[in-house]
Amino acid sequence: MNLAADMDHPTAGGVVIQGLQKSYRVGGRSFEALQEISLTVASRSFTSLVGPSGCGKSTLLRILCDLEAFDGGRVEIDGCPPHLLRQRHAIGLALQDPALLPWRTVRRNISLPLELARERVSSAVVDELIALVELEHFADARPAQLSGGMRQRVAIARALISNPQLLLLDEPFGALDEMTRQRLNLELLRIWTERPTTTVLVTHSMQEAVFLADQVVVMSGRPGTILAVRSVDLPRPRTVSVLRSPEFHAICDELLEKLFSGGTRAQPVEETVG
Amino acid sequence: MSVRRVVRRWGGTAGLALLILLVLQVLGEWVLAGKGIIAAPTHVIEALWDDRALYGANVPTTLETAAKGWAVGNAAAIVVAGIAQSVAWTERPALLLGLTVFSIPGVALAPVLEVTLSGNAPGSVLAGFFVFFPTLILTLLGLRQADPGALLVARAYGAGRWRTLTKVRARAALPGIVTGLSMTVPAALVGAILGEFIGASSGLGVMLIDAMYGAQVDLVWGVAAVTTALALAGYYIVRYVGRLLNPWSPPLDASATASALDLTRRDGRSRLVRIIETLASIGLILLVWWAAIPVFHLSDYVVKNPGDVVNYLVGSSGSAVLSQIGITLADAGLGFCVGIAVGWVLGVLFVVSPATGRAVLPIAFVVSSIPAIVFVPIVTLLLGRGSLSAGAIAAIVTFFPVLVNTMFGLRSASGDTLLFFRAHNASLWQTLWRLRLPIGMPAMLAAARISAPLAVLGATLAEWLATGRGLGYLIVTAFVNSNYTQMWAAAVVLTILSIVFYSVLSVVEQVVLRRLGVAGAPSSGQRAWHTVLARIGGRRERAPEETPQLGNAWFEAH
Ligand SMILES: Nc1ncnc2c1ncn2[C@@H]1O[C@H](COP(=O)(O)OP(=O)(O)OP(=O)(O)O)[C@@H](O)[C@H]1O
Ligand SMILES: [Mg+2]
Repeated sequence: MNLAADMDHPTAGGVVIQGLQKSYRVGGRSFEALQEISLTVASRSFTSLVGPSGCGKSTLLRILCDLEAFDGGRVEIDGCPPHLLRQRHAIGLALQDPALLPWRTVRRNISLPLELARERVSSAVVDELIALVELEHFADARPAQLSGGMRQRVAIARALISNPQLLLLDEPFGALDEMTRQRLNLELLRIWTERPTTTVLVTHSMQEAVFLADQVVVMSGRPGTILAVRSVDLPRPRTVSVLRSPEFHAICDELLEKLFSGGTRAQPVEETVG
Repeated sequence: MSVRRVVRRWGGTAGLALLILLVLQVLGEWVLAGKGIIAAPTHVIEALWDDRALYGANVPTTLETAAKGWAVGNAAAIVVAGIAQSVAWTERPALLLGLTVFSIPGVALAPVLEVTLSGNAPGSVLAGFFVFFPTLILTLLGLRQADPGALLVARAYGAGRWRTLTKVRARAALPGIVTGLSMTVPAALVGAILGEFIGASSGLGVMLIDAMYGAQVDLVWGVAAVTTALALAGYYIVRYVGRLLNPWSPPLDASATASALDLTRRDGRSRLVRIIETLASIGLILLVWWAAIPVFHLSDYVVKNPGDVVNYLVGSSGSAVLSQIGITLADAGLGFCVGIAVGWVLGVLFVVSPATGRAVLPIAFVVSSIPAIVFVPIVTLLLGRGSLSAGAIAAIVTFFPVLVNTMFGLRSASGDTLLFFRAHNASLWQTLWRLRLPIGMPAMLAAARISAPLAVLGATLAEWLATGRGLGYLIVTAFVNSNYTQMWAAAVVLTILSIVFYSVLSVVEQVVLRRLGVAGAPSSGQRAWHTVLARIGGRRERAPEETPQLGNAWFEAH
């Protein structure tokens, strides 16, 4: 639905990546981590990134939040290069390691990005986010007193506090057990529906990728390229019943086939934009 | 290409070293010429060559004394660590023993050993005392760091405690042991030289004392240079041999020592039990002391028992000792404060600006392996015979461990946390204040704590050799005047002072950490261990709130 809205206004913003090139020097030799990546993520849409380990998903995310320089091509978020976005504190980030500060309470962990942006911390805003991730009873607990899943929810609340223009999630539930993951996916979906934000999620689970996203990007490694881009037109708001629908399974199967046939570079199934 | 890399890595250090040598040369040759303070490096080299016969006669004595103490002290430390690891109840007494040995100031021990032992034995015993504690801690740390998976496999195949110790843990402990053996080489030399200060007829210690009292600047600097060279050579030889024996894992980072010291309070026993254990250990020490005199037929003219000491201290002449406490406390306190301040500030600077750290750190390392004792004459030449000198020596002795541990602590922020801070455009200052300092605080405070006994040692050394007041001086004058009761009393008071200093700091440390909310998180090693146990037992720790409910839908759908 968001996607459809933005397609009417292609200039409304979002992420535009064109001909992105990134290589690393390993042992004196150049190694191409990302080759000719072109991708568009509509404003306020949800994009999932799947691909084999080492294909450059995290590298792409690090480039998007200006933690890594790139060697060629163009990257724009809402018309700005990543470094401007970072300087404006307009990026939300949650990684596999929740990376909470153990000496701060949940509340103070969540407000950290505002402190770093030297903004006033309004407790109402923090409380609202704590309620959003359903940690009301743990607002003054320290990370050591939380379970892994709860810590990850704190990390997501923290990523959202500054109302980011771009939300980057790198396997945020990767270290959790299957059941907790699934539950958190539903929560993430709910949170995102309440606050639609341009989001890029890296995951290893195709079901997770399809269930959450407006668009799924399948990558292949060595060098990192895009194998397929598939828009997911399952209706929103999505509920668990989507998981039982034949359409959902059809999309998953189609993309899994792409993923496993990987290696040979296929044409994108379908270009979402353009 | 590789030349350029070498230049980039070592260029700053080499430049800085050259600059220091140049400054010394200018000062010694012209600015302070003839003042008897600084010897120009070229003159030192000339003097070294001229005095080569003298060094040839004295160096082997010191080396032999140091090597004996080094070998025995380290062997004892490794054996005690092995016992503490395999017999659970011995662990706490072993650590207490180590801590006591570490806290006894060498200045208190030297005269006491001098009257009880003969020949070069006092130097060897001192060297042994100095090396015991670091190696004990590093070995224990290594033993503990054995891979939990490997331990489980060993246990699953029916290995008992002993086989686990020899097959798995001993291997895992090798890096720690190598670090301990190499790191303690300078300390062993200090012990040997300190032992030679009184009563010995040859050795570097004798040369140093003679040079100092004879105001032979070239000789003082020469002995300092030779001792440092010996310490560094010993350090690298031991490391090299260690790498040959143990090629698959590098020596443990020496900075792990301070964090390893948390071993002493990681057990879950009640406070009462710990107090009882501590009292029992003190009782045991007193008992051994009391019994040793008749058992070893020691002369009760020179060797006093605890009763004599207490009687002396409460008696009329006890104030001679007690009045010196304040002076020593001030000397050590001044040096301690300066030392940790410099260590902390430099640590922060080197982490914030890694290029500076790369250039300066090797020089700081060389300075730190200069056996502390040779600083005394040099600092006295520079700063005179007042409290300033005593403080400076204490500061020099304390700053390096604090520096290394501070850097270690500040750098322990996880990669993902640092990424997060960078993604949020955190400034250098914000990252330091909100992330690195809180994360590094435990290591910084632990470093301050282990530096306390070192500060007391440094201050008393200076008192003895330079300032002529304080407990350090009193002990030696009592020795020279054969006032043995006073000597023993001063030694006991000084030891208690050092232990109290250490204990006060560990209380302060715990209070500060609790206030900051930094304490209490289990170490990562512990966490890994729990995870493995939980996995084996088939249970996962999860808060009740986290029980999956909605997740089932996912399963049903498949
Ligand atoms: N700093 C670096 N220096 C050199 N090579 C790197 C660096 N970071 C990543 N690489 C290489 O780039 C490639 C992509 O890494 P990246 O971390 O982006 O993979 P990924 O798709 O996130 O994998 P995973 O799913 O396992 O997290 C890998 O082959 C990796 O070895
Ligand atoms: Mg990754």
